[in-house]
Amino acid sequence: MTIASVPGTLPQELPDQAQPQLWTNVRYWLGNWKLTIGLIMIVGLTSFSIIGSLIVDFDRTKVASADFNLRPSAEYPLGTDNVGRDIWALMIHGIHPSLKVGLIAGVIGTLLGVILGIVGGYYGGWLDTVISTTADIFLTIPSLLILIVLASYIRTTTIEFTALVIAIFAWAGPTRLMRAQTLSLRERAFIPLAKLSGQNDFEIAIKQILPNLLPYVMAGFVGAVSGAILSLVGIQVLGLGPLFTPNLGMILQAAYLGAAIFRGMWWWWIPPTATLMVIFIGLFLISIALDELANPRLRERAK
Amino acid sequence: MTLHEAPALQVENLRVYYWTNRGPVKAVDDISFTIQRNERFGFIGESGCGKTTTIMAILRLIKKPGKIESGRILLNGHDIAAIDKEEMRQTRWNKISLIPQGAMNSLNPVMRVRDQIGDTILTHKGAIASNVLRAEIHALLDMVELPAKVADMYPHELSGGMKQRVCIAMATALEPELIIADEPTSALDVVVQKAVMQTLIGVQERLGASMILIGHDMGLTAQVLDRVGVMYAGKLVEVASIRDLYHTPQHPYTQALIASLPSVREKKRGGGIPGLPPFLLNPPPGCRFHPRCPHAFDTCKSVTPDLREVRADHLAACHLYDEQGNETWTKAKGRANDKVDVNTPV
Amino acid sequence: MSIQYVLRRLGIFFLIIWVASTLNFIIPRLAPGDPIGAILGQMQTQGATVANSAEIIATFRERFGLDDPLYIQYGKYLWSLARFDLGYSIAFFPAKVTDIVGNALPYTIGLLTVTTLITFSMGIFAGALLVWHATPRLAKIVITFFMMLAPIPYYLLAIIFVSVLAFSLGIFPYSGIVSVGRLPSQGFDLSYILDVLYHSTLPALSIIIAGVGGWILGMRGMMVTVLGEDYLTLAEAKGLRERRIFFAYAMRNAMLPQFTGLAISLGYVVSGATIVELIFSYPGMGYRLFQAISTNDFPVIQGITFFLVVSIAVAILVIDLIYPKLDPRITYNRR
Repeated sequence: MTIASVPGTLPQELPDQAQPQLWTNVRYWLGNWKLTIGLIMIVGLTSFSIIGSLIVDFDRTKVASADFNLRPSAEYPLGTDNVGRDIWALMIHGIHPSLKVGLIAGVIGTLLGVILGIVGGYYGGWLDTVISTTADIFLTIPSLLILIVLASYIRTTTIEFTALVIAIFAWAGPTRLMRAQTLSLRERAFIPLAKLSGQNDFEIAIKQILPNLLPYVMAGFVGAVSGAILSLVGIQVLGLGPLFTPNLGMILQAAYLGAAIFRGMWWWWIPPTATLMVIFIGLFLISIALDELANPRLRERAK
Repeated sequence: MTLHEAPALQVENLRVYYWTNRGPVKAVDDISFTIQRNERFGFIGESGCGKTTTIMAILRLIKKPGKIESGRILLNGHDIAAIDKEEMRQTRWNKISLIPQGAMNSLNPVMRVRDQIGDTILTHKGAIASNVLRAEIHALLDMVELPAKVADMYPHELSGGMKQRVCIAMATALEPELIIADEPTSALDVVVQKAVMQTLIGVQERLGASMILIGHDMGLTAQVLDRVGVMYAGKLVEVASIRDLYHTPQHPYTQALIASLPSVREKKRGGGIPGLPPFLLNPPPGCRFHPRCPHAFDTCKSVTPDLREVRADHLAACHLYDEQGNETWTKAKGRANDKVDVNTPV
Repeated sequence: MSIQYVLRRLGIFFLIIWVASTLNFIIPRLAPGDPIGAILGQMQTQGATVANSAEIIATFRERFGLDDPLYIQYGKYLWSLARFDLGYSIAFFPAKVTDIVGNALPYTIGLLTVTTLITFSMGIFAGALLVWHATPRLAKIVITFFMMLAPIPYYLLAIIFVSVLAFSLGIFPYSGIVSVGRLPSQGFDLSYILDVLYHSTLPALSIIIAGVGGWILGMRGMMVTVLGEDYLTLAEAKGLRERRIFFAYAMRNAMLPQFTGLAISLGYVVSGATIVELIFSYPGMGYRLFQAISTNDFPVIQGITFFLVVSIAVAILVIDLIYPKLDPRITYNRR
């Protein structure tokens, strides 16, 4: 047994049946446990929350809709908090707004990232320097801190607005990723070939570069969503997030302020914590699976 | 060749399989050969025929899912296929060293040359005074015609030819009995190739070591080798001295190879052998070359030929040289002739 | 190391600080109306009575120079920043922001430096072990478990620790830096230091345990790549001992890119640590920041933020200057 691999391990390619490439990929993905579990987690939570919102009465999330500090019971499966809000209702109505922020910020961030990354990586020169240096700076400055300052002054009130604010920083990571990939793609033979065959830059970007970037776009998107939710909960725990729509970070913050831990009100702080963990782990699993798509060396070897 | 001592290396019935979830890929399937002391032995064959796997097996560097299934590898009479990991580790470099294919990537980028060479000396010979070590390293570099200051440099500061020479120097640090060179000059440009090869030969002769050389450039290797083994699809199909191989190749595959070499002297049609080498997951039964062989007949399709002596000191694995095959041939041609004509199919 | 490289790194350093301070300058002015009026107005709606309001307003007016055109304000602002004059706290007037920061700084720097170093070194070592063939199976399982914790933010872990280890089991204290009533003036001796360490353990642990996973993950990926490289094959062919191959050939190469990641992750670490401090009432900058937020003490909010950004920029500069020593391949010229 050795530790180093033999160059050219398998002497020949194993013949595959003539299956269409897409189908082979789909089968691989369904068999990839990380992706499956991750998707189940996220999609499960989302549907749970959205469907639940239609069922459970929103009024129950309002202050003083019930007695204070009730323990979990049949009527209030997760009890109530210190101002009489039904925690079960809070959770149901609170999960999808949090995810929504992640989604909006993630989409914006990834979109910007793709555009800026391709432009910077493809054209190079001073444009690239500007874009990549800016992205690096935004990546380096602790976004949470700036968001804190921002949120202190502009008391954000709506979910959508918060998402936009978070998106200010969400573009940096995807931009760096897309740029790096575009840089390496640019050197490959098919780009000059496409140019020779008369495609203009825009067409090259859409038809040649973008398809190759797709795995990274997906990976970057998941990363952006994850980061956005992280920032969101971060500012909420400090009391700076949207106040009127229930969301997970807000529940957590209220729990902290209400000294839920010290009062032993486990039903108050455990659900949001656990849910957040599920969200982060789910997104993480998906992003690892996408990483494996982008870098086949990380895939599990056939036994 | 006089055999007054035990051969430097004797490989018997070596099998190396790669176990995939579709079954074993028989990269090396029952090969045997012998290398004498001071001999330069080469392997020739297409990509994927098993040359690299063979040398990796000798060094016992085959990684999962590959495995040495069976066989003996006798280094100076001692079966190194059977020894334990620690003993093999001590044998490596001490007795067998490797000059790798891509010197570009074979040197640790973050270590200076002197440390990489020194590594081997310190590991196998134990602690040495630093000035003694330095002197040894300089002597090694000198032997490959590199200035002493190379010792303090990092690999990325060296040119391709220099890196290859460093690898040669490193490989001789412990004065091994067997040096394995895996395409040592492939990555270099032509001018440097000759110089590096000359250095390599000089070093090998000075050490009195044996050498296994793998090369793609038949022209270059022809000038250098003593004996050659031709491999095809994991099997050895012919073993002979370099002269015999070029002048009177016996196996149809070798014949086709030689025939396809461009020649300065005569105009001939460029070579290429029609067809592709077989997938080693399910090699064809019988002789593995039979689907592409212009002389194939019935026996070839079912019985695997043994490698045996068909002329003085010249081995080939081909049914054309069996008694039966010979009969079939002569019957077919109506001639009692033991020479096979390359251009006449049966 | 070439001058070009150093200058370039310094350039980025100042660029980061400049962007951060400009953001700090712009943001208050985004709020409509007079910033001071806005501040005081908000405080009053929250029911706070502002003592000394006349003095505060006068000082800030002078400071902000609100009658001056914008670019002069900006210039004055940058100038005062350069002299580390961060203004006065509103909530604790007339305390200077720099005083507040100065008090909290050692705790945060101490906590962050120690935890980051531990997390990084443990993480890359564990990540390398995870891929190494000779690591015992049990170790690999444990390391994988910690790797799985990678996506969990520090503060979630902190919350769990607080409730389980501190509150329910009572093993560790759940707030403060020293036991109630224990002051340094009583003697800066061993028991004081131990007390500090005791109180710092849980915050440190939250950061370390939550943070190590990320490094394990990154190192694992890099090790897989390195193990496939030709020089590893040759290292084994050379008959070197496994320990030597692992450290000098494999880890040494795989950990290089991680340093770049270290620089980038600092922002994240600081952000996360801020909230951890809050949860544990650890008297570092994060805690003060939260205090400032709840009292709308804007100068302090901006001051702390600015200071943290500067610290991160310094750390990045240091890493950037050290990195070429570790990787001899770095050419200091851009293409």
